[in-house]
Amino acid sequence: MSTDLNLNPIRPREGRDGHAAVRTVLLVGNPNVGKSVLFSRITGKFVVISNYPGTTVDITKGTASIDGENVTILDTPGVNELAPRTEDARVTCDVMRDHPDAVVVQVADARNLRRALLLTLQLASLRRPMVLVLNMMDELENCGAQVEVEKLSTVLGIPVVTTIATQGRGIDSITAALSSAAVPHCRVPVAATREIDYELTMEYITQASEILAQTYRAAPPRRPTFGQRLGWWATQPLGGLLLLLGALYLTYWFVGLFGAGTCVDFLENVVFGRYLSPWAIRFFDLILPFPHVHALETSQYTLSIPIDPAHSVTLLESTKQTLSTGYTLTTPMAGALPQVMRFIHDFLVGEYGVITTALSYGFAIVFPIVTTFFLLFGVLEDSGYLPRLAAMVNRVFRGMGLNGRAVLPMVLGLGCDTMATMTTRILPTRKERFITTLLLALAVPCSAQLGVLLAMTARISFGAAVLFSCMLVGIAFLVGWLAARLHGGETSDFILELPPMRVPQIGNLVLKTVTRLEWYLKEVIPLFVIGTAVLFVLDKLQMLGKIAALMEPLVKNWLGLPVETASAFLIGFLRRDYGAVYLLDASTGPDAILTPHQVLVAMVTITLFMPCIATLFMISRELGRKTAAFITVFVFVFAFLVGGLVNRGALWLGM
Amino acid sequence: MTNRKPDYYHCSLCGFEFNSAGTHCHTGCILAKHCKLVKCPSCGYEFPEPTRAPQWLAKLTGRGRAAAAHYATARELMPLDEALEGASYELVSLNGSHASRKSALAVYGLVPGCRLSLTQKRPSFIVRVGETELAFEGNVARDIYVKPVAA
Repeated sequence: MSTDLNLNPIRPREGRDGHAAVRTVLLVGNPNVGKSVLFSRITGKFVVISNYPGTTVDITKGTASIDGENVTILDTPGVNELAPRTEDARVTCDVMRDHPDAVVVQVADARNLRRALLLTLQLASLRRPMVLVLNMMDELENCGAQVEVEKLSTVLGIPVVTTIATQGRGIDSITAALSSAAVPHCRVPVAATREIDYELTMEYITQASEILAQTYRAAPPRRPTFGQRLGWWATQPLGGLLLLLGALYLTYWFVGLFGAGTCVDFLENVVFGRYLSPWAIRFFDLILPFPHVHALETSQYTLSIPIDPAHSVTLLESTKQTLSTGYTLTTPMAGALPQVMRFIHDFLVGEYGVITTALSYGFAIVFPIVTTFFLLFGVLEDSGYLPRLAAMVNRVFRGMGLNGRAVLPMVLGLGCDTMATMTTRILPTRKERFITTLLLALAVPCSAQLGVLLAMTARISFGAAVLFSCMLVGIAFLVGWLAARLHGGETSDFILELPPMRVPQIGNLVLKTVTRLEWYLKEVIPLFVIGTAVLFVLDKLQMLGKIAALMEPLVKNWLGLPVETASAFLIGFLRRDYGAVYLLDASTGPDAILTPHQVLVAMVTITLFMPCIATLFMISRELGRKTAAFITVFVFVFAFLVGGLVNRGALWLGM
Repeated sequence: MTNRKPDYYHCSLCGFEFNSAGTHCHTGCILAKHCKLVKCPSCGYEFPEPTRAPQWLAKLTGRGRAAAAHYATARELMPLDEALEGASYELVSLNGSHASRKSALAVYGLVPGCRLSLTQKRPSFIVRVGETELAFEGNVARDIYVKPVAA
């Protein structure tokens, strides 16, 4: 396959003497060489950075003031070559074409000069003013290799500067070099056609090797560092499995026990239960007076640090009387005004109130779980473990018509399925994008869902919980396997670079988590509010009963659940975890209406639902409306089908 | 050791060097195993199976066993999936059937002539080329032909 390069060599403008005004700067370079860090350093703007090749799919724009002039700086996705074979390269080529006047600043990993030079030569063939930045000079020195910077600059005919972006060293020299950016004068292999094919790539590589021989002295063999050893273990069959189990337990502890347990308890019972909700109730009682008295309830709280599912260290216990959302009218209401006030009061702080239900759910339950998950995901991502995990599970994923690359969206899907659906862009073929999206929509519970599910498993036996997890994994494989057989097309080769293992930087980690959280909350909180409002209106119009009656054959006869759960499934169409919360309410507490058998059926059905309406929009954006409609119909039909089968099967087994 | 087949062939059309295993056609042909043609996996050119003349000539001229040993070890070509974990190799050729795969490997520096060390083979192949560590799967490894070099 040879791909069209779409790049006309751009002649430098008449009169450009290398000191012309610099207006736009493009940061181009191989993946994972520190473009985004440099971008942040130059512009002071933060971008999400990670140690996984192909994370920047979008272009980031920023401005910096250089020599008193405003310069636009564009950060592009990392590319290994300029042939638009991948989505990243396509984006980069488009940016290059859209900014014919821009100065190209190529960022290179100083240790990996050979690969950088391949790109340098391809960029040189475009006849653009360029600057070459050798980043990660500290790692070059540590490994003992040497680059003759001046020689390199002479051979290429462009300014070459050295930096250590993570420490902010050498940033000034980049801005200084911008004004002397020059069109490379080195000899460049010329394409016979306007395509970059294998033969041309070979020519570039041959020339890169020649330049390398003049300017680069390789490091003497040295003992592997701890990071390298860890990286090797992570991909060995046995060591990798142990590390994977370790990572899974860490995730379970940090997200499942600490996040969904300790943090949720604190936020839900103390922050919202004792302070925010009662304050909101009092505040609205004050401004919306109608004759009523709120009931009091006793809130019990235990601050404990979990060790494993059964044991925890209790640090603090307290009880307090608080106001609850339930109230009784003191005198019969007369006139329209109190009725209106009561309506608004109920809308905000009633049983289906926006503040007491939607916001407390969004901030008290979802927020801590998602925060802990994204923090941990950031650590896994920045450490360079995920590509190694991809190498580990490649064979398993092959069976589902995917390859190891799909591991990133799948793991991210455990945090947020919508975000993960967007990340499927890193997969090269449509077949892989389709299957990954389908599996994300069907069988990968997001962290909010996981949190609720974890709480629900407390109501079923250990065996049933194991059965539930096995079923979910089994369904994912079965559906993936079938989809791979039914969907035409090839799965791409699995070829993935393994970046060096690194210790994540705290600042970057926090920033990344905050960025993702902001994204998540913006997407999620409105949905909670809308969902609650819908339920509230239906409740007020007494439509809930009618809809429940309508769904009765499905819910009661097929799934074998009480009719009251219909509203949970109704809201599950909007967000499945929110629907699951209603099921959780129905399955726990003193007035539980679900038997353990019914809890299992409800869990399976709601877990297989479409994650949320935002995911649906994202699927439609990524794969088109038709595919989105197909996936939606399939997911809901499949969810109810499997739910019913579990109901029958469990009855038959006598569970 | 008169009629033993040589361990590797050299395609007289494209110059591709390849292992003798699995290069004969087996099904459908009436000549079956009596067929003396081998097919180059790179360009598809079919040519008569070369005999091992060079080796016994070498023996006659007195270069003897050392030359034979050199012939068998230093010059032996193999696909990467038959290579040993932990050893260093020189990449000789990328099989020609997948141009996009060849380019995909080339941008990481996996080009004929480069030195690579095979870190592991399972569950995925991991090789080190210069400062780049690359993971790929078995069917990619089968198309990479290497010869051993001293570490």
